[in-house]
Amino acid sequence: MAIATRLLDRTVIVTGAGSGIGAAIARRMHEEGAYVACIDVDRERTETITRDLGERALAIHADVTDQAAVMGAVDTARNWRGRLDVVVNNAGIAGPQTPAGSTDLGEWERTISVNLTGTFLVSKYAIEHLVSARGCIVNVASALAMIGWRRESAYGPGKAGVVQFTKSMALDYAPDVRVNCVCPGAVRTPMIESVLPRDGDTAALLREYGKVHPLYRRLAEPSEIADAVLFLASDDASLVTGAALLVDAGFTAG
Amino acid sequence: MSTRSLRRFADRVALVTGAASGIGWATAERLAAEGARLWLVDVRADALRERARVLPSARVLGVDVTVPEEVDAAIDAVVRDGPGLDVVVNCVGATLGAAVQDTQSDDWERILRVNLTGAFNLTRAAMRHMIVRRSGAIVHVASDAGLVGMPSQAAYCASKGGLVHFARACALDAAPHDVRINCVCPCFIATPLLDAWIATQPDPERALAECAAEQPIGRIGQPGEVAAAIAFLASDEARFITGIALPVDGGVSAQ
Repeated sequence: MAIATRLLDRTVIVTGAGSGIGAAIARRMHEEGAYVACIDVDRERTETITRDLGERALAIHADVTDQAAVMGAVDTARNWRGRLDVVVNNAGIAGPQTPAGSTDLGEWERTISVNLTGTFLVSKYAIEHLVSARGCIVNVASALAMIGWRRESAYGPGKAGVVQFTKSMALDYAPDVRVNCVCPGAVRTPMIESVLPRDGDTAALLREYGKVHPLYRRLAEPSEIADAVLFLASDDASLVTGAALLVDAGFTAG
Repeated sequence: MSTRSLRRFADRVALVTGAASGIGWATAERLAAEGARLWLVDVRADALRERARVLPSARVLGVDVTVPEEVDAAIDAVVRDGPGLDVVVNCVGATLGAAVQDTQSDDWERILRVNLTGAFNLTRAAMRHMIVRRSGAIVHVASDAGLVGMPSQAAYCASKGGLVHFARACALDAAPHDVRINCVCPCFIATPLLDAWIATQPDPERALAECAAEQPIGRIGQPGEVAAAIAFLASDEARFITGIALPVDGGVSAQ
């Protein structure tokens, strides 16, 4: 088996690394030789993923919506090895499953805060280190940034904001730092399970959900998103910046 | 960082068109380095044969992709040889620097025939085999000009925009058969195609500097950088990706 070294000795931050897509990204980057700083708002999950990874992993407990906590977390990650090469802004929440008229302001603000402001804050405090390292940012947006979807009145706009934030940063920091995002379709994660009706058959509902993808007609596995994030974070994407890479099995092609 | 140990195409059969130069040749080198069994195609068979000497295991065919019978015969030859056709990368392309009011009808037709009809001929022939094996990936080299309008590029923009949209539609036809189809959209890349376009400009040196300055990364891209993105889309690492147009453009289409 080939030795995986695409991120050998790179220092990487992954936010929301405790579960779902974030955990898969942390594992994938770690396999490729990276030192991975795992940031999550859930202390226990942060420590679990870091323990699973073993060497070359650092647990940082922080809420990406808390400015002081983000400053501290970025400092900790940077001081770990004296440099910062890659930031993956993955932390996100599903938000309310309601049309605008019945969406609570607090829920709207919470969704935008985690999904968009959190991405901004981590990027804001990491960027000078990334410029020094000529590194890159990969944001996790969503296919729902590209198309409308019923009862996603907060999640969709927040993720569309992440795509535009990605493009703006890519222009501001070219050629020093590449900034890209992935736009996943529906992925088998705790987040997607959280938005299913409580009283239904979870397995059947997830199977049904997967049919939005013309290719395979199943949900994506978190590792399938992590592979795309790895590409964008690697030197193979040296000419890719400001891109929104759809990983949605043709969901938005039609 | 090293990609030298990557072997994502070990024992896969890959066909690359437009392989004699530029992005096509860089793609051939990249796929060969990752273990692919290569079939290289170009309308300039002699130039391709000469260049492909450094890849002795690669098979070389002279094919004009605008002629459906030639494309069908090439794909049949690959499939007959076995064991199948896993990857097709379409790097054939022609450029034209002319504003719409100055574009001759035969130039318009030539650009569309090479860039769009060629892609159709190739995709149709490859798909017929790939759907039988329920496996395969096709990557077309489109362009930034397929995503945004550009002055003096009316025919080229139309052909590349058509190619991006053609690939999306094909991806939907291919999806039920587990076949994936995507595009890359490069910016200005250091290729003979760019050289040819630059040569038509009143002040070529200045035109080249302007091309580099127009791109947010401030430089012309290298063919190998596009090949790296193509290799990703053609590999199993992109197994959940179909129907997309990936900008490989140093930020051009983000603005």
